[in-house]
Amino acid sequence: MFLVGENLAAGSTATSPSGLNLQLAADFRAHAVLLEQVRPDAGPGDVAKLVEWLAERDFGTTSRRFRS
Amino acid sequence: MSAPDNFRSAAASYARDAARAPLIRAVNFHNTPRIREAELERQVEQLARDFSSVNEGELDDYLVTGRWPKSKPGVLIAVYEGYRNGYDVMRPLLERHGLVGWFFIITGFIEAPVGEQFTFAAGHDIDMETREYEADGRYAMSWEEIRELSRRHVIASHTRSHVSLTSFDAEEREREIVGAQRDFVRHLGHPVRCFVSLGGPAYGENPATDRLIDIAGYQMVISNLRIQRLRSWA
Repeated sequence: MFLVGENLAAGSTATSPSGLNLQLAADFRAHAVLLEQVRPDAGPGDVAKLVEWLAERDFGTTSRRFRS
Repeated sequence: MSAPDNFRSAAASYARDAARAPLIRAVNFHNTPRIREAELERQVEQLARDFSSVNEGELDDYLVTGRWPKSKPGVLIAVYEGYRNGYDVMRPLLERHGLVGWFFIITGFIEAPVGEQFTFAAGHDIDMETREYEADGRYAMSWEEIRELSRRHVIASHTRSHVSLTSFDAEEREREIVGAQRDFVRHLGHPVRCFVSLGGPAYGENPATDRLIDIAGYQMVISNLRIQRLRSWA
């Protein structure tokens, strides 16, 4: 899974996007569009499943794509 | 903040945040029976080769600064529920490979009488793959084992009963969130920093739940897609 980190405490620090941010966001957007096309009934819960799938691919030995 | 109610808005929200926020890789383990030890070792070995496990202090710093100081990417290794085989099987594997695990404990599972834990699991969405502890019937970790784990690993709260918080009334919800923290204080001597419920909600999506998380004093909340730092930790 790729969890989005949030600092909700006072004095939270802004961060600059990393390569991982940009790759994940772009890949997620592309796959979300595809998923919506093949599964018009997809619900909010499917977002987590898609992220999980992207993360499992990242952890895999043969198809790693994201590096931070 | 309210939870998006359709795929498109939920996806847009995640993509927007993923593009700019600190990202934390997390890998989840649940039941880790001895019969899968070789497969688990391969996974742990691979994690150790490619990643550096994160502990609570490192995660706290990362959420504040957005900077990860190690050469290998970080990963949060989550071991859910409090299965006895998390202690017997996963703990030695993690330690052999120099990794820190985050053990998310369902305190009601730990407190269930030995001999009734298999039945407790069946009624609380705790998946049982084997009857590997049939000899004595203890399928959950003991508090003594959790105390020992806490010396090298992270212990975190996964409620008392492992039921979706939305199905509870206010009193039951308090037992699940605040009561679980009281269980940790009683048995570990200190509160735990991180809380995860079954299926969320994220902090900010349910004011009544947020209030109880604040009362319990948790520092961080993990939900399906987010890890939220709520406060500093003394």
